[in-house]
Amino acid sequence: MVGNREAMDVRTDCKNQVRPRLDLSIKVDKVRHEYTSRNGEHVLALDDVSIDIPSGQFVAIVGPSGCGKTSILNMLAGLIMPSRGAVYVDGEMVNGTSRAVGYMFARDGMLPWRTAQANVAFGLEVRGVSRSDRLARADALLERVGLKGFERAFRSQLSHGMRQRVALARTMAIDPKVFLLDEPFGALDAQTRIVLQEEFVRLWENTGKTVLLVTHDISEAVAMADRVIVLSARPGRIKSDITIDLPRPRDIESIRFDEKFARLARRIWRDIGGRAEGGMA
Amino acid sequence: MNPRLPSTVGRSRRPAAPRFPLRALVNPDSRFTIWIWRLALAALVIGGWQVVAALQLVDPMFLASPMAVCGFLFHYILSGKIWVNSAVTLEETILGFAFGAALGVLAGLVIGWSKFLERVLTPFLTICNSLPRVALAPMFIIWFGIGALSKVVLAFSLVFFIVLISTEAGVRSIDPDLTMMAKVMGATDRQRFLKVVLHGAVPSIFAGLRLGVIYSLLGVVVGEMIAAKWGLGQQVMEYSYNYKPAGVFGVLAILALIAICLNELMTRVERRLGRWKGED
Repeated sequence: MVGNREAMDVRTDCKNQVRPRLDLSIKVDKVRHEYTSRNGEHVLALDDVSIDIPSGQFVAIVGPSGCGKTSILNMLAGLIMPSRGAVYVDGEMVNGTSRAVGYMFARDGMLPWRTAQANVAFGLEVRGVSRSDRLARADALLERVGLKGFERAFRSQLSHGMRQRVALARTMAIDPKVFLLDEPFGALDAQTRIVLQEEFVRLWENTGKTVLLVTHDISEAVAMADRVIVLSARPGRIKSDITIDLPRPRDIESIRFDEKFARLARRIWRDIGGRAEGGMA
Repeated sequence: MNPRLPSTVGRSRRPAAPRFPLRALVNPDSRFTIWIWRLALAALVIGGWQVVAALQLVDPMFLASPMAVCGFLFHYILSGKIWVNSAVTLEETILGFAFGAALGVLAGLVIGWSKFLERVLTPFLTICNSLPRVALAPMFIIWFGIGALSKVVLAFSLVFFIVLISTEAGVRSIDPDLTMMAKVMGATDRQRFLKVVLHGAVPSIFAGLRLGVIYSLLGVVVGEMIAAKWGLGQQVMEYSYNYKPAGVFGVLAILALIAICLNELMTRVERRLGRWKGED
């Protein structure tokens, strides 16, 4: 960690930039991401993207597919490095995977040979938490995500929604300061999706955790987040940054019929580049 | 999990049979019926064989009757030759298999884990594996003598590549979502390897081991057939040179029995490991 700080200092000094504020949970600083695709094509995925997220905020990133939304999460999780610029979590420059971050995908990633309980305990197991402690913790979390009684179930015995709940409990088990969510409800049917969105918001509210959600579902973004960032098509640049001043606690299901919700959703839809204003309404 | 679960209870209690009364005779869920059919089929084949042999439809020099084979086996057991030769063959088979399997699993894991090694070595592995390695048996005899070593080495060369390739395939077949999950959950490389990759590759490793044990026996028998002092392969050659078909078929029956036992053993070990599904 000391090494990280030094690296960050060198970087900020030589670029004459302001050191990230400490109350910032996430800082994406002038990030550019380019890579060579499998068929040898040079791709500029993100260009000059900066995002500051204070701790405790729930931010959603929306944008057309291929705009590099997921690349931002992968950078914050330390899975890829930006070609230019830097990303910071909790004031530390990210280089390599960090244990302060919890990352959840559209696919559940459950180990099929482990029970739900042992899957939830995985993160604690690799951190060396004792067996009885981690299993007790896993049971408590399974109960919180509504899976009491399924502790011994294997992946093959669970529905898609239940698997995603396990993934959520697994992510919560490591108690990360920052949640990175990459379309975690995207693979679910419409009804289950709303139920899980609601449960996630209910579990998150009052925890003070920072959440960065990537989605292509505008109503999901508006219903759940405090703030929605719209990225443009490739190369992804920030097109707009909209505060969602809907009251909390929110009822994900009924908020969709709120007039303000509709206005915000329409605005985002327009920014993304959907068809003319009448198109959606 | 238990393959016997959907047994007779579920279906045969429903009296759907009357529409076609013979259905009970072809009920695929009745273990009793299945065994009756198996025995009937075996009796048919052996009986037919006995008839063909007894009527001398085929020159007795080429085909021994089942009775003659039984007679041979009786004497073979009494004389104790069965134990000496089976022991030699079994010992060579197990040694070749053990070394081949251990090193094959190890090499398969390393190659499967390292993209670099995999890319460099794949063409060589493909060549080695597609080569009919039993054709090298005469060379192994020249290099390692007519004793047990040449048979063990031949069995090893068969088992090693079979196990290596299925292990590598097992490692490669692991869902990248799982290793990704382990990575973002903070698992170290070592933990990812032990808790995700190794565990995920077990079914494929066992498929290779089950195949490998049979190939080990094959390699040993081929080696013995070419040059050996002892062993069931050598016995097959001896009896066929001396035009004793009953001896050839008798020894083949012993080999079949050994192969079945080895296969059954592997299946049991696998099942035991399969039950070990929990943590760590």
